[in-house]
Amino acid sequence: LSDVRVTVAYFAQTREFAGTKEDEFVLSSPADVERLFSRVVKAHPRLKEIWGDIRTLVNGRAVLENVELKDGDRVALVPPVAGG
Amino acid sequence: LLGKPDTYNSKQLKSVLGEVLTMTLSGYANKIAKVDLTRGNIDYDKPDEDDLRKYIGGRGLGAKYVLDNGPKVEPFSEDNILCFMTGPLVGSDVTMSGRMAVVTKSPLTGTVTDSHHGGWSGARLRWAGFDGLVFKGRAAKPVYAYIEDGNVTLKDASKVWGKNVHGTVKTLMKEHGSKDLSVVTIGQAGEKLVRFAAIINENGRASGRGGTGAVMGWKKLKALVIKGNIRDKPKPAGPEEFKKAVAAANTCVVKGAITEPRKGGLSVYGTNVLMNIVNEIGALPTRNGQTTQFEHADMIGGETIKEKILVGDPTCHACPVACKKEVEVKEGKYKVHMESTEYESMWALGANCGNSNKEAVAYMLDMTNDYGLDTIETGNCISIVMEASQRGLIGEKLEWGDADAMIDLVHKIGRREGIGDKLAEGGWRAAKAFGDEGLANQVKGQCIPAYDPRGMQGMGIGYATSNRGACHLRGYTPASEALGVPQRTDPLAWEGKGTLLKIFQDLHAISDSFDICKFSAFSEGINEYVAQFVAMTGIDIDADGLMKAGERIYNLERYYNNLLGFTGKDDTLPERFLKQPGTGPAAGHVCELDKMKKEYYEARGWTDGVVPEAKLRDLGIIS
Repeated sequence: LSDVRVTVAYFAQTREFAGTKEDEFVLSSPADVERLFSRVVKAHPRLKEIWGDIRTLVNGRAVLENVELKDGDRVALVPPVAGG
Repeated sequence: LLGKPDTYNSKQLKSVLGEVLTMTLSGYANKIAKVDLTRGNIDYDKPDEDDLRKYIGGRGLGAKYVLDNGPKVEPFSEDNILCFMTGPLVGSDVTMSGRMAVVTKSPLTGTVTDSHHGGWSGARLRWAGFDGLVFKGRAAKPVYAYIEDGNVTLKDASKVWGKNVHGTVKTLMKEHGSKDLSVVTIGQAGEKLVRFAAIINENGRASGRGGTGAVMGWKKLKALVIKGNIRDKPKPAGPEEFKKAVAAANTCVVKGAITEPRKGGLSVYGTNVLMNIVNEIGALPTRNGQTTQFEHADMIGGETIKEKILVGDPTCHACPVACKKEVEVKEGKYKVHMESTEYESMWALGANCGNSNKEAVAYMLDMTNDYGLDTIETGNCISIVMEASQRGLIGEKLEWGDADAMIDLVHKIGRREGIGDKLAEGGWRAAKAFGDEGLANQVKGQCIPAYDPRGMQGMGIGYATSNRGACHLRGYTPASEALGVPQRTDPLAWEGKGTLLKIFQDLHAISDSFDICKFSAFSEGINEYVAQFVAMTGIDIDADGLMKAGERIYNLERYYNNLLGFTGKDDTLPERFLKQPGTGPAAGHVCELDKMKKEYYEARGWTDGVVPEAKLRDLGIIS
């Protein structure tokens, strides 16, 4: 089984709490969102403060439950925001 | 958004608010100034109580006046009226209650239009004793209106005619003193009848859309100078009930995940927090909508602005959110100090034009404020020239992202010089002059803001059915589609979007008529609106009744357009959005307009975009 390389993008407060715009995580296959999250929170513990409010996009599409991740996927962590 | 439907039914309200409901209307100034600029006459009328009960104030009452004035007036004519409206909650303790609505017949779209601005001018107009000012006719020489203590005086504006906004504000502030004063003015763009000229309040708050500034310029009305003090704020029908209702609504705002002061995304980053997120889902129209993702979005997004050039967080009357973002570029050719780098504006002159230079965008936004131009239409006009140049339709060469050439074009539009004279007619008319109407991403003659209908389906039906031309603010479906407020919907799915849009449109018609900021809806719902409105005015109404008022206002505007011949054929989108798929997450998707339109018309009870007579009667629009 090959490794799964995933890019994680942080926006708004998640960027401030993570201290970076993007990360790359390498997960063993099969990889999924929940396993990725545990790695993200371990790398950036401050994100726990707002974790309950964060929405997840996988390749630009919102996901509401755990889904499998493929090599090259992009996961965005979005806090509650609005504008107009 | 609509809360729990039974939280505030009429019976409960009566038990909560008691005798408040039996009193005559409070909250209103009960005074409208009707100014005939041709004759220099000013009459003061009491607004009709039945109109207030049906149309609330602000946008609703202004639209009623425009309808009563007759739809078949030319926008640039003495017969067209220009209404500056407050509402029953404006200038009160209600959170975000500092708005003013400008309502008229648009020279850009030929429809009824309303355009709102924040700051303090709305509150000051109410404190000065007015529910609204209605201007008709045309002055022989430029004038400005001075408003104080329930009086309107017309004054000679020759010393500020020809000046841009910043110069006009400075001059009139010097003359009248800045204490308790708001200056609402046009720049050169309004004077030169640029069809998308804005009216600017306090240097940087714009009634941007629809060309209200051009109507003001045609009437030779340069500015409103409004003096008003908060000691004259409106008195509620039920002071204790009002206090409680305001406190409850304010709690929603200060504890709301989005609006919480200095913690919520809107407060920390302003509206431009959307740039990266809308780009991420593939709904950011890029290079005149040729694609739906911009590779440099982050360079002009709210996070980067905050990190690099943010210097302050100004706010409006009674708003703890402070979403305005004041920026300063300290040196170089784009040196500027201005407020505010809003999302739509950063997109219009940024991603939409392939421009990733945040300093240049900020510089241009200050220019557009100074000339008094709608940033959205200005950006679209420039991107139309860029695509026309790319396709060899015009002789001019303009590369995507060429900031200096863009600055030159902003000057030309504001002054109607060279190619700017064509662009000053608006994107749609300019595109036709360049030989391809399809260059303009427009609806009913007004170009789109910063959401691509291929990546955000609800915005497609929203643009198409908007009564004032392409607009995100008639029904802000991105709240649901991109941000999950009040509940998440898939931006790429069309099902349910027609019904969702109707709810948003009716709700926003209410807030626009109160006139409070739409951003209240990110934390509050109809229940908070009802409680504050009833306690302020004493009008006996429940949530259903208030939503019906919103529906009535939306239908009245549609009826006005119907009388002018607008029908379902005008509720459409440019071919680009219907036939050319988006990119990124929107790859393979076009806007499913026809399917959504069928659902939307069913929800509205309209026949091919026309309000049936029975519906007009049911809503009390006609008798």
